[in-house]
Amino acid sequence: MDLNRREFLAFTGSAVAVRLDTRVESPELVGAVAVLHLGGEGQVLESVRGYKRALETLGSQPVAVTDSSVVMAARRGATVIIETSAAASDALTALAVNAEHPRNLWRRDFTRATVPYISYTWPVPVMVRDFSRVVPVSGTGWDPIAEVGGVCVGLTRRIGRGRLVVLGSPLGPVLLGGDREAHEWLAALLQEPLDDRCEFGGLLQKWQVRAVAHDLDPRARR
Amino acid sequence: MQKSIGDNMIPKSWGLERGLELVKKAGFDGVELWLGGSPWLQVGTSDADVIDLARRVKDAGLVVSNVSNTLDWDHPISSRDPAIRQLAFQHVERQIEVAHLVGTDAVLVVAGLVTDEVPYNEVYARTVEGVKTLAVKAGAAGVRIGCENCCAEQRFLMSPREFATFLDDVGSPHVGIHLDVGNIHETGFAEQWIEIHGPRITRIHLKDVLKHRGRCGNESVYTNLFLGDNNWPAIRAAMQKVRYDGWLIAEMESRYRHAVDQQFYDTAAAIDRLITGRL
Repeated sequence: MDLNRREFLAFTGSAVAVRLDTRVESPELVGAVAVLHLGGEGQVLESVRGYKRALETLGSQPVAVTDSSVVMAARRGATVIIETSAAASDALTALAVNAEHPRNLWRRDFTRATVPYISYTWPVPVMVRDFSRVVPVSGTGWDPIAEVGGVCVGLTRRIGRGRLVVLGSPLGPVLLGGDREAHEWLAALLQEPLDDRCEFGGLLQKWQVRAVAHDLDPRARR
Repeated sequence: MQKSIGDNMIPKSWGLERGLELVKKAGFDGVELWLGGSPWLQVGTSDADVIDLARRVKDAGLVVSNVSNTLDWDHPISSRDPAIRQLAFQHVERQIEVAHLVGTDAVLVVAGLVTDEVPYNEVYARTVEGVKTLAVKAGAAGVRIGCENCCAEQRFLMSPREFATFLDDVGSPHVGIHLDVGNIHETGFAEQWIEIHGPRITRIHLKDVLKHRGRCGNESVYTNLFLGDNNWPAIRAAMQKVRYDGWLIAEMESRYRHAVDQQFYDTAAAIDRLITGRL
């Protein structure tokens, strides 16, 4: 379960794994889940661990992507989750996502709710405990999927055969903590069909690409 | 969610009919029956009398939310004495039978009691085995056993994770937690217990708690809703998060020196505000 330095860097927005970019170009990624975390290292580590553990229980594992390979991975069918705990980033700007300064929900300067739960409306309605701060996000062409105190903190949009999901409240650490509803959300995301824009229709089943995901795992690249 | 209150709150001089009438008039949907806690429900009460009790509850326009007992403290299933354990099994099994007879699907058990004489590890092992055995009977009767978190009073299962491990070790779908939000004072936050246990919660007991009193001295740590330190908006939000839509049962100490019936009205109104979020 522990990550080595190379694996860790592969999931962070600051790292550029050129070799991985080239690998993303080749195979279809329908059903694969890629995770990119934009934020401080301490949080990234917890987040990656959370996603790895949660996806393993669902019979999958996250594919590493970088800023520059996000769109490509989505076009090829991956569901790419971009978590951010920081306001501005080149990656979000490139995706036409506006991210505001982080807000601390626990100081009550944002909402009157005593325990600030993030309310996800898609792919399944669940409430998930926030992780210290949230980054309000918005963007033309994006669909809102999560809010707290009336402010949007989650977006999604289809790209090619895949999907991008932007989360302004990191889910990985909450997954690591075993939050039942967070796990429910991730499981529902994996079940969400992507076939409608897939030119090969039912030919590529979701779990057939596990081998591809494995091939792209940093451990498999050595 | 539905509101209930224990029949042990009914003033002893009132009698059942008058008490049930008050419970209904105050706005409750149901009543919690306490085996051993009232003249109308004892271990020796016959099936016919239990069925008659259910009829009287129904005639009052109420339903039985669950069946609890006052007997676990004297006769815990964790006792070293086989004779005491036998009594414990007897009263819990009777509780399950009563629940079946009155048409409810939940019983409350205070499972395990750590004392200076009976140490924790011993209590744990014996309680897991005991509850496993009782779960078979509960399952057959269509009833779930809710082990209450009495935490500091039991000196047992003090943290939510530990309680979850206990339920894992019991490993029965017929056993969950009867979560009392007033019993978590020195040991954590009720809303976090709700989050962790979610679908394993069989019922929720409501009362408030004055944390500064702790468990020493003569003053009770418990108080009426909204007078204490429980974070009620957080508790409500946690119930929403885990989609708890079951019974909310007031378990108060009778503190009103005058106009004792007023506590029923006040408590029902407080629970209404909790349910509707007017906090």
